[in-house]
Amino acid sequence: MTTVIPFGPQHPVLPEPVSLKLEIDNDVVVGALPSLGYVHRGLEKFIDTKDYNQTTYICERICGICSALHGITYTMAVEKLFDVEIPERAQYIRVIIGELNRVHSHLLWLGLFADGFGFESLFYECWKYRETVLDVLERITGNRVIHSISKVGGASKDLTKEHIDLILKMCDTVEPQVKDLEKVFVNNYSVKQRLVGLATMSKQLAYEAGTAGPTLRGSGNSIDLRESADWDIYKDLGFKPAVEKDGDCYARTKVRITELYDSFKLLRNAISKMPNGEITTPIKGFPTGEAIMRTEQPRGEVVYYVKGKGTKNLERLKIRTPTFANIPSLLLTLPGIKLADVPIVVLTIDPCISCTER
Amino acid sequence: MGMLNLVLTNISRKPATRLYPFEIRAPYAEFKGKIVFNPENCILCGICQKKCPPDAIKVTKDEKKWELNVFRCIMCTECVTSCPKDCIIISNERAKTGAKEYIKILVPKVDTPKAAPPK
Amino acid sequence: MLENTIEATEIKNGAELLKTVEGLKNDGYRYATMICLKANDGHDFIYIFDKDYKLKNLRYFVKPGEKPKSVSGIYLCALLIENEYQDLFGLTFEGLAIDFKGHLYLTPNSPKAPLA
Repeated sequence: MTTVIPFGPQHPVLPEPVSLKLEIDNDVVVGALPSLGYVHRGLEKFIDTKDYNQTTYICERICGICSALHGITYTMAVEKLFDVEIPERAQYIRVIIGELNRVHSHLLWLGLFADGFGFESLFYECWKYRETVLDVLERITGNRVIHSISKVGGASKDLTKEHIDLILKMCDTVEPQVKDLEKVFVNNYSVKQRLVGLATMSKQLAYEAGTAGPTLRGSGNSIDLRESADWDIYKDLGFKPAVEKDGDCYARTKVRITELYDSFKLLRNAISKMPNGEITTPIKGFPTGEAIMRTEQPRGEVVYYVKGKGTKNLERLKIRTPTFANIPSLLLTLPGIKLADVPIVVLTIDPCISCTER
Repeated sequence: MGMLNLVLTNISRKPATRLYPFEIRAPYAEFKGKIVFNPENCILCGICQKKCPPDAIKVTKDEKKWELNVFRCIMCTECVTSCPKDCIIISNERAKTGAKEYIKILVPKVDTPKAAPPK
Repeated sequence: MLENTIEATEIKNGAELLKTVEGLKNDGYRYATMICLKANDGHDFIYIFDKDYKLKNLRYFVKPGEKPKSVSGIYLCALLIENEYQDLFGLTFEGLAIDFKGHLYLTPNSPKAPLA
């Protein structure tokens, strides 16, 4: 005899409205059905009324946490249509802002995750450290979360010497703090009891379920778009994807913590290699043709498809966000899990419902 | 032992948060606070209206009026960078809550007589 | 005439599509996404698969009124995107693993097929 209970859309641990219909036998989940649509805004339709430069701002507002990388990916896709090479300094600026974005997104997630298993003081610590990163972003771009750093043809703001010192100083203060956090997340007995062996996904299953980002890499698949040829600047920065083999919630947490260290390394490398020069190239005409661009966001791989018809607005924009790819994996991992553990499993895919529904 | 250290430092340290209404951090120089329009040099060209992504700016040539819907504005600074006469600037002063929805400014532009057609 | 086009293998009919996708799965490709475009009264589908950071695209033209075949039987993760296109383009997929019947995003009183 099974019971169906609703989980969400309003739930204490979920910051965003995702609803799951859980089929429950005693307190073990036997089936799950996601139901979406609470924040569908129709942004793919909205681009009909805006020109291709203004669409950058729409794309940035898809998600508040990974906004910089949405904007960067969109502009890179449009630059593919124009066949332009943007100046190297602008590319480095994009990498730096993108990595800062990843640091603050992962710290946010670690905090929410700690809140999810009831470790309130750890949640406060994570968000306190995140504030330093946000202050740096505010100093550079003028905004805390919507950075608007990337525009078609380059970057909209240049980094001064002062900004670079700020970033380096931030790296030096936040990295030891992340080391403190790591001790708790990786070694704490209660945290381990809660996470190890929970919602295990095998390497094959994670690959075939089409998951993305830390969910995919936590299961032993070494796939990170920063390694690919799409955004080849990462090759010069000595990037290696963070991979864990176990495929449980604990492994996904460890992947994200390792990625924080990687981001600090990438930031330092990018700053040391950043050349001087122009930050924009002039763009003439209107986009024609179609292009696909993929980059690695904090939550995973994002796919942008743009199609232009030679008019000022694009004909079609399609965005496959990482959470969209990760939600089907919940259908496979949730059965067999106790009801009390469901919030943690849902949180380990880092759900961003605003991204998913656009 | 590490725990005890943390507890002791947390007790003796001052809080990480600010007591907001009494203690206000000065806004950073780069902070995008609010749009300031200086009507003196405006030529009512309407480029800011065209570039504005959320359609917050409205320029009426006949009434010589420049209008900004503050509630729609997303602080993207497209208008600031595109203004040919540098009339629009962004200030780092924080916008007050409960502000008026519209800022309407009349432009004191003198109508120059049209150049005589070439003979 | 479009200047930049993405390389894609043309697929003629639904049976061939399923066969090709099955073959791609056996070759170790990962399902990335599917794109639906309006074209000549019908719809153009572009299926995107990924292996070792290389994309493989399939293009399949759905004639007006035709019910496209769902690939969610092969790749389960295809069910969300196919349900999305049922909502936004008013299509009907045959053989969906979980069918939301056009109510994944939209409620009964919201606009019908907004992108079509």
